[in-house]
Amino acid sequence: MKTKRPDNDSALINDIKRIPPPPVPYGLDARLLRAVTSHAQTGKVSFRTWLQESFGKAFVWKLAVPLASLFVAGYLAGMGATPARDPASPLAFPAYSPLDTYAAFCLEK
Amino acid sequence: MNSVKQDAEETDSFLLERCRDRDKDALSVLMRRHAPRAYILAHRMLNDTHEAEDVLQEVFLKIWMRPEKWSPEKGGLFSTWLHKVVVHQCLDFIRKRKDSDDIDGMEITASCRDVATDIDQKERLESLQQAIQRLPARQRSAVVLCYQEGYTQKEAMEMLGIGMKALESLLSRAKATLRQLNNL
Repeated sequence: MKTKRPDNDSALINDIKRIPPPPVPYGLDARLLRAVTSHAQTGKVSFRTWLQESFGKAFVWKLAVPLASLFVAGYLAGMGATPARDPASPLAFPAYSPLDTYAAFCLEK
Repeated sequence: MNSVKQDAEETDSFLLERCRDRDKDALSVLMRRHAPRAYILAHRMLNDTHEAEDVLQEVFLKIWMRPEKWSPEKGGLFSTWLHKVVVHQCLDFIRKRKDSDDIDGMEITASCRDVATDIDQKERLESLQQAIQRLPARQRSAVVLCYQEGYTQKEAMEMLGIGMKALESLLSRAKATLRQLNNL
C-alpha cells in the first residue's frame, strides 16, 4: 500500500538526488589492481582463514576450536595440580600413577 | 578498441570464473567495469577518498581470493551483490573507526542553521551532503542506497539485511534529521 509523501519529503528527496556524485580518481582501477594482486601475493591471510582454506570451515568450528579449548583446559588443570604433587601436602595426589600401581601389582604376583 | 568490445561481451560470471584461475586480466576488466560506481557508493558512505579506496581494495581482494562467493545461480546481478559487499564493508569500517558523528538525539548547532538558511542551491546541496555524512551509519546507508544509488526499497532492504519496516523507519528518521538540519 503506497502512502502519499508530504511535500517536504519530496523536496528533500529531490535535493538528495541532485547531490552530484564524487569524482572518481584518475587511475583508480589500475591502482586497485596493483594493490589487490600484490596484497594477494604476500599471502597476508589470518590464521583462521588459512585453517579454513586448508581444512575446511567445519574443521575450524567443529574440531579445532574444541581441541584448542581442551588443550587450554588441560594445561590449566595441570598447572593447578602441580603444587599438590608435593608428598608433604595433605592434598597430595597419589605419588604413583595408576599405571605404576598396576605395574607394582603385576611384579608382586 | 577490440579489447573494449571484448570487455563488453564478457559476462561478469565468465570473468569471475577466469579469476578462479588467477587471471589478472579478468580482474582488471571487472575493476574497469565496476570499480567507479562502487567507489562512488563507498565515497558517499564514508566521505573520504582514501577510505573509499581502502574499502574497494578490501572488497576486490575478497573477490580475488574467493571469486566463487558470487554465482549467477544465486540470483541477482553481480553489481548488486558487489554493492551489498561494499555497503557492509563501509559499515564495518565506520564501526571500527567508532564514528563519533552519530547524531541520534543530537542538538542542532547554530552553524547548521546558518548554512541551512543559505538560499544558494549549490551550497544547500553541499550542506545536505554534509548532513547526510553526519547521520548514523545505517540511516546513511539507507539514504544512499534508496535516494542516491537508485535502488528500490526491496533491493535496499535485501542489501542491508533488514526488513521493510526497519528500512522505512531508518529512512523516516534520516529524513526527519535532515529536515531539521536543513530547515526544510
